[in-house]
Amino acid sequence: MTHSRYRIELHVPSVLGFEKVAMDAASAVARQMGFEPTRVDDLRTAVAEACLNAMEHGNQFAQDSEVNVLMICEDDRLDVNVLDEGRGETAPRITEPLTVDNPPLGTHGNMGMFLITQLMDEVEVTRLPEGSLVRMTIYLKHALASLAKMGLQ
Amino acid sequence: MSNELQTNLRHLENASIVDLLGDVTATSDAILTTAYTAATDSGKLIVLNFEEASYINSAGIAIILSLLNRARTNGRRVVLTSLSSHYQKIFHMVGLDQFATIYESEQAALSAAV
Repeated sequence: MTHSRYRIELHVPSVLGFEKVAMDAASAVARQMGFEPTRVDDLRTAVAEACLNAMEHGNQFAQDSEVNVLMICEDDRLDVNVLDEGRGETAPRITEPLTVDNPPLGTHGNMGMFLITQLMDEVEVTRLPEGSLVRMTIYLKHALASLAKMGLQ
Repeated sequence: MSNELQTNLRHLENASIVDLLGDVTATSDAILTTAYTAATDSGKLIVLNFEEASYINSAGIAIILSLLNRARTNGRRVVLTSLSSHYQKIFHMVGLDQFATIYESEQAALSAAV
């Protein structure tokens, strides 16, 4: 698949369980792009956590709210942007690593954001007028390296 | 959209096994607590079997962590088995493997229980 700036966009309601729609879409896109299964699994978890944060903290589970998920396929990477509607008071925080003595019971997606930063190659959080945007990026270099080893490139 | 968590409790000679089926999420607290409480009645090693757990998110992990914390406080031994390699990695990232040993399989966990 040759991909330069393909865009896939979803709007999911702020209802627990609908993060799975975004997870499945993201994993389908990542598989199509040639990402290894382990990276696809990493992306699924990261997208789920970003959506859950958006639903709970960004949108306060408001019935009329949505989480916007925009996936952009570039030649060397996949960017997944998760945008909430800004009904929460603060943007997600990129937190310190968790320890046994610091259990993940903190505020604002403590564990979720931690997992996102550990699993993705790049993470950027931006507070926009319309809401908080979490951009997650995974690079294809691992997939390309695997293809080269197999003599397919 | 939900695949709500269900549990199944099996009592073996040396352990009580709680099979987790479906999603481990924010809504799993009550059912997991009920299953764990029933398992503790046996006084044996408690094994949480994740073979049929399809989706585990951070809220679910927090519930598991609270359960393991409670078990440790009460001097109860709990081990985990049959997590996918992905979720083994996740559990390690959040430090959950410091609360409980994670085994590749139920057989491995039972062998260690003897």
